[in-house]
Amino acid sequence: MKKFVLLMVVLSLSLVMGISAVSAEKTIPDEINLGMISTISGSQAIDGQNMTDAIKLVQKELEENGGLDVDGKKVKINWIIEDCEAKPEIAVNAAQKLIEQDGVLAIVGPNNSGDTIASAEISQAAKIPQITNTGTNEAVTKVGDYVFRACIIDPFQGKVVAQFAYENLGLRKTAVIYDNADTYSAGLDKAFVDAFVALGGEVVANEAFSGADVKDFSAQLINIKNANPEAVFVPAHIDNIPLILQQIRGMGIEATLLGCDSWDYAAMPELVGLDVIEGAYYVTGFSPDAETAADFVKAFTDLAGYRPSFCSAMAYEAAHIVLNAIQNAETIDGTGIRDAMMKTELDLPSGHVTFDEFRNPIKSGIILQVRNGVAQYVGSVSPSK
Amino acid sequence: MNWLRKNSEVIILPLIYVVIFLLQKNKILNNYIIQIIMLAGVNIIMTLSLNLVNGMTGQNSIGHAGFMAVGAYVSALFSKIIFSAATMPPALQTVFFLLATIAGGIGAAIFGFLIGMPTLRLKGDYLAIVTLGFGEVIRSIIRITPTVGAARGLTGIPKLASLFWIFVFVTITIYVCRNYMDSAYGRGCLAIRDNEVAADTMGINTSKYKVQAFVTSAFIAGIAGSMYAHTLRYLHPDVFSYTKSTDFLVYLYAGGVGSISGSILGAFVLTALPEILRFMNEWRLVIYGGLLVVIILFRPVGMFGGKEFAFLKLKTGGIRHIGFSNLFQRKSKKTAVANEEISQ
Repeated sequence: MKKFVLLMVVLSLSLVMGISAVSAEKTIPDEINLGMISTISGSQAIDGQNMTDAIKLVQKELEENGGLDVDGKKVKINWIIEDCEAKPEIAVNAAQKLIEQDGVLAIVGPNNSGDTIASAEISQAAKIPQITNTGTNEAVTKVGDYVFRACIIDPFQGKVVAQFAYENLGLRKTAVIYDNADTYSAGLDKAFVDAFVALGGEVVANEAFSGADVKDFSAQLINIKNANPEAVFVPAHIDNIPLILQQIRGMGIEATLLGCDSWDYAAMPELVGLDVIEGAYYVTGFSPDAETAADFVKAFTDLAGYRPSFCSAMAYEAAHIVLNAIQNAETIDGTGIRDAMMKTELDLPSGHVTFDEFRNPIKSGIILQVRNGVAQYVGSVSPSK
Repeated sequence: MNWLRKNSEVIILPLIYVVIFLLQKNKILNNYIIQIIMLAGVNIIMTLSLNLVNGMTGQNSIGHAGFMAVGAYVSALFSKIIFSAATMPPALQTVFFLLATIAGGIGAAIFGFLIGMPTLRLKGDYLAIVTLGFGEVIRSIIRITPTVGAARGLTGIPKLASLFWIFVFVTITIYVCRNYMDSAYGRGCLAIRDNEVAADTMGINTSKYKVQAFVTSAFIAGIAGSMYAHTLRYLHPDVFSYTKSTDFLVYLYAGGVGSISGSILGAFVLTALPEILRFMNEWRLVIYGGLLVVIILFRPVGMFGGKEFAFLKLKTGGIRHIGFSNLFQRKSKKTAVANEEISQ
């Protein structure tokens, strides 16, 4: 037994040495494995479906071109899709499996912040770039310098709204009503106020309420009414938005209404009341109606049979960011692809995309306006840095 | 030599670790497989803990992930927030990891006492409802506590748990459970499981024995929580939901409720199985569920129901198992045979 173990040790040691002795000069492989982790089963299976269809579309595009064109050579891309059941420990297993067993060079997903943070620890340690499609938690990209995200984050939205209000609508006096017990709401308020003041505008009233169970906003709204703003920004959650908006109009405040991506529900105009929300603007990360997204939406709808959601659009973009990085990488390995991802300059369905030094995307926010009870695409705004 | 043959586990258990360690060092087992073994270890500790309550004492805890959450968060609080262990030298890190683990265990045990004290005095299934509620309350409290990351989760917990430490804690837990079952306390618990009224008549202080078993179980669950936190490095309150508690119940009942070997095997096999089935893609959880149904249909007492590995055989003998067959008040032939084998 001892002899056998010793033999095995010697054998495997020599094997390891033999493998590492092969030199690592710049070569373009015939095939590259890429991984995708998403919630194919479990409570968020719908997102998994959306992401799988997005990857299928990417795969179809690649097959039509005969593979990915890297310096004139057609490279076959294999997408390996793994389930994480919306559980962090399963996401970790999936990332380990993709990296160790399948030897992937990059990972797209998962769609949840929690799953991404847990699995990103693995890809960071293995120096394999990972890009989440819809993980909006700020802590995601703080895991390390191999972790990216494809969607815009909260502070960025605040900037977009401020710039749109100041430059496109020409407003100079705005007010905000926000929930100071909620990080999302408070974060957006701060980002908006900072950006709007920096542009030269004035925030005449910045009113806070505390907690989602507040139902009467008249104290805050009286202050806003007295300040007489041209627009009111309402970065609240879906459960508060109808009440706030109805009470704003009930108070007789006739200012323009501005919102953020929490407003982005098809049923929102109905919930709030058509006359109340008519003409309001809000920002979101992706709109199937934007002219930049037209080709993608058509191709996706043909393939999957339904219109792409935010989740599938971001998965599609994440996959293209990785593919583009492979084309531009100096060496085809995790570090090379990461460095190339940092230099991303790409036109995608939601607009032009680059990355900031914290690996969050800099791209345009999509502005929608509610007209006749339907949110319609107005334009894209990219804030100056 | 004779002693060695009787106590072969003294050699076998360390040998298992040495083999895994050597295979890992030589890259035959990659990190993926090691990760699965580590998670299986955490699940084994949790299932053994649950076995103390559900298998041995005959009570029903269906919110055990709540105690795991307490252990995980308390230990992470200890190692990350109070003493930032990540920046310490390795030897000191180990000391703080062990302290954090014990702190996690004690934290969970305190909650176990507070929960168990009033509810275990009653007869019946009150514990099931209370533990279920407890799991949800703990999650809600974590979700609104900014110190531990609130709803965003706690990130950047130092990676202190290793295969070695998980292996050590699994071994300790196995022996604690074996010896507990073999002691006067354990036999009291078994008596309560089999017939609470009779046990009471025989002079066993039933509520005291139940609380003792429950607090021990909570302590072990807290240890498992600490292992989980320091393996995964990320905690989120929703991880410890009711679904997580159900996982452990499934491991326990499929492995063989009341049996220590069954708990170990159930947790290990059912943690590894979904990973082995990854090649089936979206069908893998269907197959997983199907296999569970098959196990319960053909072995209602669980894979190892009513049996123990030789080295875990109790000196006092006679473990009578309870399993799904008891739930349906029907005993299969196999069960009866298995019972006989054990009582002999």
